[in-house]
Amino acid sequence: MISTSAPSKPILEVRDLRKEFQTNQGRLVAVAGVDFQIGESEIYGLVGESGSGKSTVGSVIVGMYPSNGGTVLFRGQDIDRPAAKRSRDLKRQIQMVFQDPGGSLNPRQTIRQILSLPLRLHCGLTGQALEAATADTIEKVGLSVSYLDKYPQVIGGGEKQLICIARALAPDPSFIVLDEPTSALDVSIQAKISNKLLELQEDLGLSYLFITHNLALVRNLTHRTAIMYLGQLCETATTEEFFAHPLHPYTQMLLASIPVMSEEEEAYKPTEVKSVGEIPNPIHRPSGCGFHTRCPFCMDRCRTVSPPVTEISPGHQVSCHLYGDSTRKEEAKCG
Amino acid sequence: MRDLEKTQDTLLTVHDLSVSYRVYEGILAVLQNVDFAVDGGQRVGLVGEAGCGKTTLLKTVARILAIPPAKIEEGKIRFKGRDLLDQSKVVHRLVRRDISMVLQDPTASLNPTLTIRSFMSDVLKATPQRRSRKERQQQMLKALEQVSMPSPERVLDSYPVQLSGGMRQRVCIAISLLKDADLILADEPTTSLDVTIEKQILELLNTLTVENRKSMVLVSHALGAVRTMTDRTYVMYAGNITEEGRTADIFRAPSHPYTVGLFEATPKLSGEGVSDGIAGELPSYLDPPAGCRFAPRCPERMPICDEQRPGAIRIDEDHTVYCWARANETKGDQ
Repeated sequence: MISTSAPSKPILEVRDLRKEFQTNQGRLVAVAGVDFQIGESEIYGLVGESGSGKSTVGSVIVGMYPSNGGTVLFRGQDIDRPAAKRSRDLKRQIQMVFQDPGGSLNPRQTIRQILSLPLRLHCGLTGQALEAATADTIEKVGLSVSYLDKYPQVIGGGEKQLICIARALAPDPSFIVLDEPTSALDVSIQAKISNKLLELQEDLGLSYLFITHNLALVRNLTHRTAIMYLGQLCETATTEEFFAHPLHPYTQMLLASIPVMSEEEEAYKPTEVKSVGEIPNPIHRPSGCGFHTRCPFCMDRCRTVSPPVTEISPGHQVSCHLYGDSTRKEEAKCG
Repeated sequence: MRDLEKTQDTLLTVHDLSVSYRVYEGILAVLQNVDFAVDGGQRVGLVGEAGCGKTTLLKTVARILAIPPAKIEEGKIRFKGRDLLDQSKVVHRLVRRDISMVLQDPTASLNPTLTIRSFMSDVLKATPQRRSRKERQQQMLKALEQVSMPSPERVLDSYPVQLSGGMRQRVCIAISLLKDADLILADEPTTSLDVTIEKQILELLNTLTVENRKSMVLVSHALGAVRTMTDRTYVMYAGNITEEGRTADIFRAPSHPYTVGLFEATPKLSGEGVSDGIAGELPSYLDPPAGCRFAPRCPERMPICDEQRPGAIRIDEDHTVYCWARANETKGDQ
């Protein structure tokens, strides 16, 4: 089982991160001020629906695009710049695994070529040493060396994703962004990949940013969880605390919406919030709290004022006017 | 397997159906002797992982299977007492009127160059009743209101691209309501949607089928959705039905090793950690295992599993499983 500990020394710190895109329809604010910290050897789950900006956060961290404001600190060092301007060592430290394993492996290269590239680039290996390291890398994810001379199209989806994970592990990173690593896979394969990721994290002391829309997976894999909606974090807490006391109305709506497999699981779902409405277009972001258009507890203030972040218990933060100050809380309870 | 003659109000029966595909590499033997039944007003779940033949089965029933490359090798399908594989016009009309399908990807099932109004009125024009323009308009609005569509008038004049994924799926369900079909085939209707929208669409399908006493086949790999929405569940693996029974029984006491593995591999909200999943991957349909198709991945594999296909084992009054390990157990009990 996963231990829950407060992050002692953050490996990654994101402060007030903003990212905008220019589109034909106007300015799209994908990430609108996000703060979080990920500790050493911690699995941090970032959950949200499509369009919430969760993948954009991951992309900015690996340097796919520069941000439009805020800071990203990696072990105290500011890394907010595109990958091309990052030092080679930094690029080695931060790796990424994508959602679609088929699309992220070059179909014209053998697995050996795919895995040896990061080893040559980042570790400067050649010849015999490279051979040995490549074999070592593929064995780390539990595949045999016989896969090395195959092409990606002849192996299964789960195996492809394992190759992607092996490629990310090859240069010995300390932090991996996992962007929906299992959502393209079947559940029986998903379980295998998730277990492998947990095992590698424990053995190598890695930190993960685990981006997903699957709350049940987050429950079983992560140490801490953050929920994102329209580019902002609604609620962050240790995973155990989060599932025991979900506070934000959106979090409750998400949890209440999950179709579950047994009565025991039904008990974990909040009952008072019903799913209504849809996530608004981020180009036409609602004023005040982004969630007010769907929120059953919406008050006048929610339509105009963006809610502040309130710490409910150590490590459990929620940004919602319901929990903003005590008077409002009482009012909501009575109403 | 149930006695097909006994159930009087059976709407659809599929008996011993085998379907294969001719491709460049050879013959893909996908469906293999599948038995499947839906009663009037019953909601049936069909569960299985990608590539297990769920969609092939639905397409065969809806008669939208592309033949060739597909070929129906053997088997019978009866719908409302008629042979559904009969190519006559009468049967063709019956299928078009009484079977309706909601597909996984609402974007691909709507024509991008037509407004929702022209798309929906085309469907209405294809039905036998003659209607004036005004009647059509009223019926379209009524269908859109039934699926709780916000501002239906505006939606009628929109193109699919102007609607969100959830709204497009609502339109697809509204279209299936227009025909007043007796059987709705829902092929992964919520897979491409977000979880809060998924909840809304499932609730909608639930109320509509209960209120109008429609039969529905819900194909999904969201096991929780099948648990809450259906009366019977069929579990499929590699083109075979592996287990069949009342939904409550299957989820309370899954019996086939594949069903057990599948349920264990699904991450739970109660947080029991992650199981190891099921070892191996789906076999190739080009050369499927001769015996039980699950044998190469099965934790309870015996020598006979590789040689002979397991028959139907009735482990409970209304709970059938196709497994040699279970066959031995029931024999041992007697």
